[in-house]
Amino acid sequence: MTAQPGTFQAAAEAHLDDVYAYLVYLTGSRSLAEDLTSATFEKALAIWRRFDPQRASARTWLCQIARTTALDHFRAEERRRRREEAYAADQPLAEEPLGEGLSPELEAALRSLSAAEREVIALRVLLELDGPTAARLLGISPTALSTRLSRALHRLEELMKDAVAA
Amino acid sequence: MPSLPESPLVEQIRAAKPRAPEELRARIRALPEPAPEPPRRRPVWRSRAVLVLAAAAALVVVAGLATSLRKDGGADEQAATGGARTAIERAQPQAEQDSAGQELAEAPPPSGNRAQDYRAELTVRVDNLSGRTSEAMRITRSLGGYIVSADLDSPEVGDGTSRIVVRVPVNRVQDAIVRFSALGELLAQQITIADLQRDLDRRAERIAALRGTIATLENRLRSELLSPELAAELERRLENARRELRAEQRRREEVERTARLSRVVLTLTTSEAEEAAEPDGEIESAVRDAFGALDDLVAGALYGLIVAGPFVVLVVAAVALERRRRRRADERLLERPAP
Repeated sequence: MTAQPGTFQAAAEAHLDDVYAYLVYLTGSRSLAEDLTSATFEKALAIWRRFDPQRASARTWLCQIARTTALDHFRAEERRRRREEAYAADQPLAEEPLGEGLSPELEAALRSLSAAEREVIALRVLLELDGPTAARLLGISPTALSTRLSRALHRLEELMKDAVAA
Repeated sequence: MPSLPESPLVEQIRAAKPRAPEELRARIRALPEPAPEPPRRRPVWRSRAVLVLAAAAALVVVAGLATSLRKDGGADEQAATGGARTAIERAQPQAEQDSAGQELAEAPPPSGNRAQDYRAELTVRVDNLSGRTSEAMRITRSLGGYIVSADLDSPEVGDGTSRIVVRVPVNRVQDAIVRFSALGELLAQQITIADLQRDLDRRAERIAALRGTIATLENRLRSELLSPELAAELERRLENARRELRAEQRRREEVERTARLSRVVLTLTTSEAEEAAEPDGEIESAVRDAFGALDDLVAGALYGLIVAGPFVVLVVAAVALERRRRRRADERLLERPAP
């Protein structure tokens, strides 16, 4: 069944992979990304009427909701961690590959990055968002975004060199 | 913004883009389609701007109306509610002509059946300051009132001023105002009326209750066989009740005295009044009224802005700070090194 263009289903169908990939990189966990992707699309469905295509593309809008959803989750986790003695977030995440077909070195290097660094790589490399759109989504200036991306890629390269040398 | 550098690393990441599992895809497909509604055409920022402008306009209108009502509607409101303090102020006082062509002040009458605090302030331009001051004092005494204070400042050179504060029986206050205004040319008049009846009623109830308490206590002390401790306690209560009764009676007398005697502040001056304008035609009058209303509106809006301004600034600053704090917290959360 093909959804009609401009409908919620069409947007969901077209951008599901992007939202999921973004959340995989942001969270570092495929299972968590699945849950957050579901939550993102449920939220998007609830506020679909507020979506204005003149302000942003459906993909950017959905990524924005995904980011808010993920941040809510991180905050809740942070609060839970503070409450509990066990430092659950420091437990290693389930060892699911971030990407399909990544070399083990690149997989490990990506995992060594912070969520913020993986996020900027996801937006600019995976989703190929242009700079201003990605900057707006992250709530930072395009210059700051450029710096953040450059640092992340540089760090990734360094990690890869170290891995190859080892 | 420079374009993304193409490198084998970037290519590999792109090629290995995670794809949503089929189970998730099925879950998303199962979501219902929202009810159709035409997409919003107007950008959100524009609707927000319209809302903010509408709110500001509403504030301006409300403030302006409030100011206008405060200035114009006082007398009616006082008559209707019999409650709040009311001020009637006229820069260009309403006046009527006496038989000699002299302008006389027109004052609202005091209430016949409710106790009121009636205060008036008059400014009258006179030629003979000393003589008119003496005459004002005579008028006061003739009306059964008395002089509270009199301050005559009559320099040899320049304008002189005399300020007399008098108390006049409230049932004669209209006469007093008319006669004071007849001393010269009435320049300004302000009348303030505050209801005292509710206060008096409350005190009467309290006095009745205290009398009942005193009677009960006296009766118990007279007729019952009481232990020395209880008797002492009742005596103490009796004394307190009597003391409170005396205080309430004193306060009631003060209020009654205020209600009996109106307070009039009469300022006599020799300074020239501004030239009276020629009577306007209908168009001029309408234009003047319109400008007057606009003036009130602007004054009300300014008042609203001055009062609400600091709060708005505080709220905006608080919201901005909170957003900044939250953004930094989010960034710290995401920048934490991977475990």
